[in-house]
Amino acid sequence: MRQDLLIIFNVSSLEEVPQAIMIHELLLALSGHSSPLFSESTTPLTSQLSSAELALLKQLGNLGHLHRDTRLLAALITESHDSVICRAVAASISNTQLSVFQQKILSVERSILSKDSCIVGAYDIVPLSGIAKAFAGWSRRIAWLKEACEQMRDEEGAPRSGAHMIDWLRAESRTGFPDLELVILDLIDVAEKAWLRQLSIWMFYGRLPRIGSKDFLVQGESEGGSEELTVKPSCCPIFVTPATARSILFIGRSLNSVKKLDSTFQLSSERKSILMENMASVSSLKHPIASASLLEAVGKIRRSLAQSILQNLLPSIEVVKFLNILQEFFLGTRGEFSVALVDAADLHLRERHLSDQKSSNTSRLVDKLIKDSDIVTVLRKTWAALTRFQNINDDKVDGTLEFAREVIQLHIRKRIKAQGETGIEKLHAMFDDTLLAIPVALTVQPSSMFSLFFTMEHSNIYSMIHAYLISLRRTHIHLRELWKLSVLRRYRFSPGTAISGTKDSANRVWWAAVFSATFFITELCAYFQGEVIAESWTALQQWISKDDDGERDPETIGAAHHVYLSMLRESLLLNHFTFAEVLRQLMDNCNQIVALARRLELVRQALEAFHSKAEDTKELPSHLVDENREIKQDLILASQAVNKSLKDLMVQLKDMDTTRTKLGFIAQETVASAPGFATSFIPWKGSGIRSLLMKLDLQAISND
Amino acid sequence: MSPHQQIKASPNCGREIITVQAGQCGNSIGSQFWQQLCQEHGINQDGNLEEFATEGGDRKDVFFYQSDDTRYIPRAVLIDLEPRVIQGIQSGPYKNIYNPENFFVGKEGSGAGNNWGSGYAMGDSVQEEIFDIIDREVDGSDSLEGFMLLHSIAGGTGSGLGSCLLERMNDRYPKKLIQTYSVFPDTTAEDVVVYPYNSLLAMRKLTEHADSVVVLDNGALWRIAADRLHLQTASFAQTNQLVSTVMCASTTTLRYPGYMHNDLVGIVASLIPTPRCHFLMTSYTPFTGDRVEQAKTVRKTTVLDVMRRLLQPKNRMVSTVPSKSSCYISILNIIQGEADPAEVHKSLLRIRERSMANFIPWGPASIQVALTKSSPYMQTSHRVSGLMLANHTSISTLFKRIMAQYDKMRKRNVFLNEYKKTAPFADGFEEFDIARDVVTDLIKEYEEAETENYLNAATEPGATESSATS
Repeated sequence: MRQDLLIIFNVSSLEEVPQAIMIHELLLALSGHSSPLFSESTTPLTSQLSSAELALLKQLGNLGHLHRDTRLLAALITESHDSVICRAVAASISNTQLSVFQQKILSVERSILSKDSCIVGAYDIVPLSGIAKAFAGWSRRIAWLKEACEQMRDEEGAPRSGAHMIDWLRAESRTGFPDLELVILDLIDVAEKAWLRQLSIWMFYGRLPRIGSKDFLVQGESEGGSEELTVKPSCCPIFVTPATARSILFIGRSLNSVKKLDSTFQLSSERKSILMENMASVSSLKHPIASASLLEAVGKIRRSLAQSILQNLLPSIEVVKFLNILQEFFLGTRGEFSVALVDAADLHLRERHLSDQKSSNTSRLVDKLIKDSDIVTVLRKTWAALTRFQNINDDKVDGTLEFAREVIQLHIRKRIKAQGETGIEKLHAMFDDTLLAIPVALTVQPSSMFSLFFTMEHSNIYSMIHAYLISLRRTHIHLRELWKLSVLRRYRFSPGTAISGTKDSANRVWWAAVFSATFFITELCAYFQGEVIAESWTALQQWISKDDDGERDPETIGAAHHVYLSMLRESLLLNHFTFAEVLRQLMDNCNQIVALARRLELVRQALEAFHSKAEDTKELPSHLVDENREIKQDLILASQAVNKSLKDLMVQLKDMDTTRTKLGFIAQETVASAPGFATSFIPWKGSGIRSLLMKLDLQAISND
Repeated sequence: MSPHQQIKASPNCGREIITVQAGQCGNSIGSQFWQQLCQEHGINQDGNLEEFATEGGDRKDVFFYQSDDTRYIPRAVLIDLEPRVIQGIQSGPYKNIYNPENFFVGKEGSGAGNNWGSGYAMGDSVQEEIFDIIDREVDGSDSLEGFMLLHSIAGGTGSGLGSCLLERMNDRYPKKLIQTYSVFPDTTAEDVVVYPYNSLLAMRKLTEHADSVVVLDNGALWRIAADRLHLQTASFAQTNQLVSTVMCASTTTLRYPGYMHNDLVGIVASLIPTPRCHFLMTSYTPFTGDRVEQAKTVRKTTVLDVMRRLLQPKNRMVSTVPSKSSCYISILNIIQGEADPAEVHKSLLRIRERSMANFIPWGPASIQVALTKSSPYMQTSHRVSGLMLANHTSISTLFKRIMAQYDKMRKRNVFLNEYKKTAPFADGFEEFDIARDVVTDLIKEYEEAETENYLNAATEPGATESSATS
């Protein structure tokens, strides 16, 4: 550049040196070099100029500054930006867009040297206005390019995402200046191509980009050894709909799972031809990319993947088998599992209690020393009981049970405090300690194949629902056990004794409270199990098995499953914290009654034993009589608490019912708004809780 | 609740039930019961599974166990003090299904002479032999839930020996539930003259030692046979058939388990709020040709029809005289067949809206509905059939009637000599007086249950305790 200018200087026939110098300086400045012409202090040169000339000069000076800044910024970004897309755009700005400007300067120069009459006037005078005119419009372009460069960083200079850049470019393309539009379209092309390159590596080979991985829409997070892949919405350009993003995630994830099972998979000739086909469909995309055509291309890749490999690797029958496990063991349709688990847990609690008593001084310490291995024992005993039960009733090997044993675990749960108090976590924390008095969770850890449609989030939801349902079941079982407490349930008419079995108002009060609570929980369980869970599952199962269009690949099933699960949460009333809270209160109050009743039984037994031994003694041991009376008073209080909880629950249910009627069915909206789950699956919605309310009809209690 | 959701119930909760049948009536209804159970589960007369019985989903182990050669054997203990009925069973078509060691016939074979006292005394003397059988059955079960006692309370053996067994079983297995199917006398035409004595004495034991008593009253059974089945003169065989139908229906939730009510304690807990009110009545509809030949009148069977008919007093198998304040304490409807849960909701709504059933003022209006599968091996002409187990306060009117009859006889001191000869009355008739007090108390309990003050009126705990001792 400098050489060119020297040439100007040498061959110039311009008589007045100041003008030649000025043009030289001017063009140099425009090319991005610093020039004394535009320095702060007034040079002798500038002092000779008129104010109009000065204004023109300043304008050109600004353009030069702009050019220089833009060039520096673009160079910086090209070298150091996190996003490959931004780097590509910046490189394109310096290498393509700014070099067009450079060319323009050269062409102006050439015009001057060749004394082109467009710019060189009579007496070889080059009017400043002529030069300014030649660069008319460039200020806007360069200014925009600078802004484009600035857009790649935020106010603090930290890099922004490539997706943001793409979105910004697409928005800018509608500015209305045809020259700008051409530039922008050009840059969009560059940006999108860079984005597609990253995407292709992921979709064809399942690899995350090495450079700019933070900028890619699929993010890998290491969580407890296994890498959990998620979509980062902020890294999705506008044309990537949530559905597309899910498909993209699914494709790469599938590839990774397949590679784990079969390392030579990518080398097969069949795979290669599919790859060629897929690459062609990606490269045929027109820029700017339309979301529909991207979805189509991605969908095509997904389908070819599903048809060629996944159908064999994870046929829908396997998917159903897996979902069935969740259904039976987490949602409680295999009733004997719930009962056996509660049994085993109760046994564990009793053993713990006994050992606590032995070492009464250190009981608090013992509490803290519960290890995962103790909890594992509980589940092991549950499996043993189930197997024994299975053997009695069936000679066949229960494949489902075997499968379940492999993938289901029970362990101590670490509650996530404060951080991201999600609804799921909050609810889980509400019910996770009912079974074993410390937070535990039943979790499923399926083989990586199932991760194609089953994420950690799903797993957490199932654990939470299990905690909720098993808490309910446990309370139910314990309440029912009261009907087996011999001394309390029998009325003994024994003249001359102070022990009457069941007849007195205190006993009536707590029995009635127990009855009401049992009734409530029975109906609630029946509604959950018999109606909500059974019908929802039937709907999902039918949808999966009715595969008319060959569309039931793991991803679409995953989408349907997601919808099913969010619907299930709504139908199980898990989106209503207050209800859950009151329900938990009811459980605690019921436990209280059960504990008191068991104590009362012991006292009664002691009294009866005393009575049968010493028939002549009129005096009963006073401590027993006192305790008998105290427990009865406590029982009355506990009964009132139970009745209060029941009343509150009814209020909650009625509220829910009214709100639903008013707003239409909320759940429908919830499902519809769940991002990116376009699916033909229509979950079971039922008639809401109205039928439950009608069955409950706890009028006598509500009117209390 | 979805009707065909099969769910295997708990392993440890205790599920098996041992049936003890005592006396003529107990054994007749028992043999009908076992016959029908075999048919429903596809078990042939030798105890083997029929070839067609491949459907599964049923729980045969609640009432049967499998012998080494995989035959199904009823968990039944058959007891009588005279041989006629048991001999009939031993020579009948289903003679081979029973364990031959589970029959007990009193050595003298003379029966208890329609005398509670002698039945009770003889029971006392042979209890060891009987409990050898019962204990063996208990040991042979994996997790026993309880016992079912089948008997009538009007005569000697079922009433007296049954009472004795009830008491002993309760002592021996305090954690096990005891449900009885007790046939009450027809207070208008009973063959046994001293039935009021026997019944009242047995009622005391039922009050004190049973967890739930399904009351079947012969008067109502005959009425149903006449009205519903158009039988001018019903035989005991026919009324016993009604009883066994009710028994089969009331055990379907145990044999074809659903989510709820799949064990005895589940049924008891949903029907009996306060332990003393444990006398249940039943209704069944429709009775038809395939069960009892002559009745072919009822054809239209929607769930609503079934549930409405179940509430009609004429279908109750207990003759009571409900007063204005009589009310339900609880209801459990067991609906068998092709019932859609939506239909059930609709029917329940109708029942609630029209207040077809009045409930106690101090507890939930508990109408529970269990939908169960019906046996795939039985042909029925009805889409749905239903059994209602209900706890209703008007049952006390039946007790009152029996007590009135008792009072009449007792006032004249008739037939007391026979009782005096037996062990329980050797020292006087205190047993009678206690029984009368207990039944009076029971009637009062039901009457109080009709009032709002049931839970708080009674009195302070201390005062109540002394009142119970009076």
